[in-house]
Amino acid sequence: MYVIICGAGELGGALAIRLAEAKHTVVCIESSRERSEHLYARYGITTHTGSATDIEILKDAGIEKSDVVVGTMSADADNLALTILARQFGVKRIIMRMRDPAYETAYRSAGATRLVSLVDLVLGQLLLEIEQPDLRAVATFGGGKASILILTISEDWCKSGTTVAEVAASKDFPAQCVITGIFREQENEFVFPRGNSEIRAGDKVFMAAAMADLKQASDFFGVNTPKK
Amino acid sequence: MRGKLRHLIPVLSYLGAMCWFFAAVVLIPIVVDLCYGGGHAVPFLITAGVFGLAGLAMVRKPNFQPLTTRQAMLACSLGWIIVSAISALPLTLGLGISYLDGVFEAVSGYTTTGITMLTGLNEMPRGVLFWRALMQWLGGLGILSFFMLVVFAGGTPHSLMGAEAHKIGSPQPNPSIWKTLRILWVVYAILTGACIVSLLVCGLSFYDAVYHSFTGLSTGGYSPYDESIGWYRQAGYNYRAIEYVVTFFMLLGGMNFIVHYRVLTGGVRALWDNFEVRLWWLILASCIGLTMASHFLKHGVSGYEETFRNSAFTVVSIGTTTGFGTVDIGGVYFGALAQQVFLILMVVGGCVGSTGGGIKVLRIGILYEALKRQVGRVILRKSATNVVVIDHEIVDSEEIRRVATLFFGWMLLLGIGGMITAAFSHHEALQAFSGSFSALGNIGPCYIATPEMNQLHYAVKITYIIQMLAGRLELLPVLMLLSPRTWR
Repeated sequence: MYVIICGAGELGGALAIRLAEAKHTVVCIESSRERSEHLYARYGITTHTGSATDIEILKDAGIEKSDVVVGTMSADADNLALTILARQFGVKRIIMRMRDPAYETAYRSAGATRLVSLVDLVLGQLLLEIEQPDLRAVATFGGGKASILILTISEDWCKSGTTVAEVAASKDFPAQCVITGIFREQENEFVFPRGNSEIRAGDKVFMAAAMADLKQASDFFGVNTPKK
Repeated sequence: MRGKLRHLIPVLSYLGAMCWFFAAVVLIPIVVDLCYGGGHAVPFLITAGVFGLAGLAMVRKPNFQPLTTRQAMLACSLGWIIVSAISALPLTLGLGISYLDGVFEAVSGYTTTGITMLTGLNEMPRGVLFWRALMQWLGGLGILSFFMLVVFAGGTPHSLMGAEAHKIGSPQPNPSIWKTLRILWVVYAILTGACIVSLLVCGLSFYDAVYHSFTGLSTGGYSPYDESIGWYRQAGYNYRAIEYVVTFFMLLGGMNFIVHYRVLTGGVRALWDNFEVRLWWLILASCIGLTMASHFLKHGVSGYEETFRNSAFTVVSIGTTTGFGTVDIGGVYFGALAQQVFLILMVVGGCVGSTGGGIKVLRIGILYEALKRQVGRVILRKSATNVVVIDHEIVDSEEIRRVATLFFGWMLLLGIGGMITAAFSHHEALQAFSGSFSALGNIGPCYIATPEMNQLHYAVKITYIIQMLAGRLELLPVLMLLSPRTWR
């Protein structure tokens, strides 16, 4: 894929390095000469120095033939201008990093195909760390509406040996929650759960759950959550 | 010393101390002379006295105060000139040659060039000849050490003195100059020792083994025989082994000593993990290939081992700027293509941080990358990053400018030296040029036969002396001496 990353700071730069390692064609546009030269010298990534809201620079970077444009500049206003320009050049996938959620509608109407809000991602993670320290979130979706998380079944969970079907049928288990995998660390075995798969003490259970149901699900498995 | 030259006083402390050091060093050949018949101690004792007096004249109570950039550069070039001028005495007095030839021989020694004014070496007193080997061995790393001490004492940035400073600025095994210095000397001593042992195993006498180890690792190229390493074939030694061993140790002399340090401490990756070393292998391999091809084209395809051995020996000898010979490079053996390859090798020279001369492989690499970027400037968009990168580091434009001006200065001196040679001798255009290439690059042999070298006009000899010094000191410190502002 031909990916143009606009704003090669900490996030954009790291993204460029990972994409280049995965053999994608990556071009960075960065206003700081020092940072563009560093990425070029250290990692061999093609970089252009200048503003990604400058139509000439975007053309230099080859926006006309790009598959994806990623905006990781620090100001939402810059990313917004980039979105409009990228759409004008007919870029199919325009992914923007949004700082202030207030810009969401503007981004959408400008033509961004994907919005990534760092605040939401980090916020969800932080909340989880505070409220359910025994849970580990793997990914969060829809601005924190749902997440995939891992939960370790404690040794004193009284219903050890219960099958997945029984758990799902239980009225205490939230409806908006699906068990997607079971990992047994000692046997180094990953189970793709069916109705008859057992859940034992010590298992790591992967679940996809709505944020609102997290607490009920963890309570079900006896994972302690701090008192509010 | 008063008034205008007051700023020279701190320099004198260093120069005086250096003279005292050499007053002691010049006594070593007396020991060698005693082992080989004796009777030539007087010239060395006189020289020791002159060194001592010169030291006393310059300084009585050494006061090593920090030097400015200008003073440090001055100390380097003056130091080299003074030591060479006095070191000429044992040769002049002991071998009965003219003082100019003696100075030429000494400069050729300390700059590790190896052009010799002497013929009939095989019959000359071994003790006096040993002085030539000792000068080259000290010139290889010793004077670099003096530079480092001056720079270190001066507290001046490492990037001051052209190439010799580059050697200091190259990745160091240790941040402290003193430790770096000690490490370099230990590596130098280990490699010299290894070379001596290897040559002894090949059947050389102890004197010959030490001599060629001293002049080989220092990439100097003096030999106690007129026929250089080729003598061993004529004298019926196991010459194949000797030639391969000498090739190997010349190769080591032309590489960055930091690489040797890393390899000796287990970092074998150092042999290919940086730009300059990789370029060095590439240059040597392709030049050996071209030289072999040139021989085959001229004489037909036969004698693979011999052609490879002679080509590898000669390419390494010239590429490292050592200058040992087994086959006359100006003769019919190699052919025109190889002779042009040799001239180019004389300009390129060894790696930075080695004992070799020339412009240095790294700098040629930088110029090549700069050329690529310049083409890129035409092809690429204006905003695209287009900087010269070596080993993942950006080479800043100041450095590129320095290398480019050095290259220009080099070409200028090559041209002037070639024209002076042509004007004052009967030699052909290519021969006259080759002498200039050989002197400036600190090589040794050229397409003028050795017996004809001391027949050259004194103007040519003086030109070569200046070129040898300029090449070794990387132009700037020598050109600086010519500027009247230096002396104000």
